[in-house]
Amino acid sequence: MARAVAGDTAAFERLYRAHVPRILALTRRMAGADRADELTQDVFVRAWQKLALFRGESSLATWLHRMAVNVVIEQFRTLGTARERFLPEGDDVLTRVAAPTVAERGWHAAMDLDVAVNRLPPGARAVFVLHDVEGYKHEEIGTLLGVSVGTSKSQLHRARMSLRGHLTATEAAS
Amino acid sequence: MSTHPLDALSGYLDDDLDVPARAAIDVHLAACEPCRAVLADLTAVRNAATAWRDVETTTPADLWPGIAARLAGPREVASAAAPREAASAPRVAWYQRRWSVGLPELALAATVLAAVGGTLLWPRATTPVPAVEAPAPIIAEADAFDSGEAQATPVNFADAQYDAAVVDLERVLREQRDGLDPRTVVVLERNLRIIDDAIREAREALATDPANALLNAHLAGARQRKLDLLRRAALITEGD
Ligand SMILES: [Zn+2]
Repeated sequence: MARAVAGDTAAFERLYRAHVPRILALTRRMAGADRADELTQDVFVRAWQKLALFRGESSLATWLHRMAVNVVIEQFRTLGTARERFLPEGDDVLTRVAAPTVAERGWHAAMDLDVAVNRLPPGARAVFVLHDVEGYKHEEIGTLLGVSVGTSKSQLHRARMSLRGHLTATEAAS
Repeated sequence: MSTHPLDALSGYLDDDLDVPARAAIDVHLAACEPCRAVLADLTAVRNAATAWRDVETTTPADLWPGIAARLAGPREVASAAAPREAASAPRVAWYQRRWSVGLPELALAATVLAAVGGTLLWPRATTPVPAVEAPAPIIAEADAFDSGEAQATPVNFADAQYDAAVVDLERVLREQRDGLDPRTVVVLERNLRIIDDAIREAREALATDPANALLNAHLAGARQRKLDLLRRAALITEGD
């Protein structure tokens, strides 16, 4: 660590090797495979630039993780309008009350999740990944995304309902 | 029963409702099968997300050369000492390079690689979500998958080159095992076991559903992790 701070790229490379699997998994979940490599590189370049600011208050893993979330969020802020970033507040995704259940298909649901999540608008996707996958609280997500806690909660619900619909359809079609 | 409280079901699932609201949902759910089904689905989606957290991705491309080339720029606070090997890092697989990582770091790398028990290394970014049971590798529930589907193109598991490499590396490890730090051996063998289990389960699932692209990708990933882990371990033994 100290050597990486001092400018030792070999030391920094070891740090990169130890942490890249987790960071790449995160950027793929949040932004999709298409952009994940580039974003992951951005994360580590930024980490290199800011390494001296790392205070050791959290683990290095946590520090990098937060940095990765920020890099992804900054990037998708530049994509599309606010309206396109979130699922509509209408009830169109909420009408599938009687659709066949995918409960007890947890395994299949997980296998298809990256495909299904790819279809969510970036904001709804970020809320879902941050909350249900990464364990962030709605208050934190609201701050990160610049939305209210209520929006984070309703987007999470809509994302889950939307994923449910997709997974159900996949199940029925297979 | 005219209005289903669908909008409240995620809050209900996350235990994010006040007592009266929760009680009202309880009453409704007791009498409404469709809403119970939706709640079960939302639970399945959330559980799938939890399991997803621990699914590691293999790195198909080495991103390091692209990073190294960008490290020459200004850094915050730190001195602007010119990085020695900043530009034009040769595109050599990292495990073919010099090995200067110590045994504890190998153990760490092995843990990362095994990639199944993500909690070993990775603290949650924030306070953990309410303790769900530690998610099993998603593949472990493959039995739940529909069987009896049409059989499509079978997968060729017998990749002779891969198998030969694994056999070779396993032999090196067996021979050098005594020279390794016992703690490293424990971590290595545990992680190899985890990967082998994942491979076996993926193959069993594929026997039922040979055309499943995601299962195939999962198997390929597990095999790649095993190979990577063995290579690193073999390099360590050489370095000793
Ligand atoms: Zn109902």
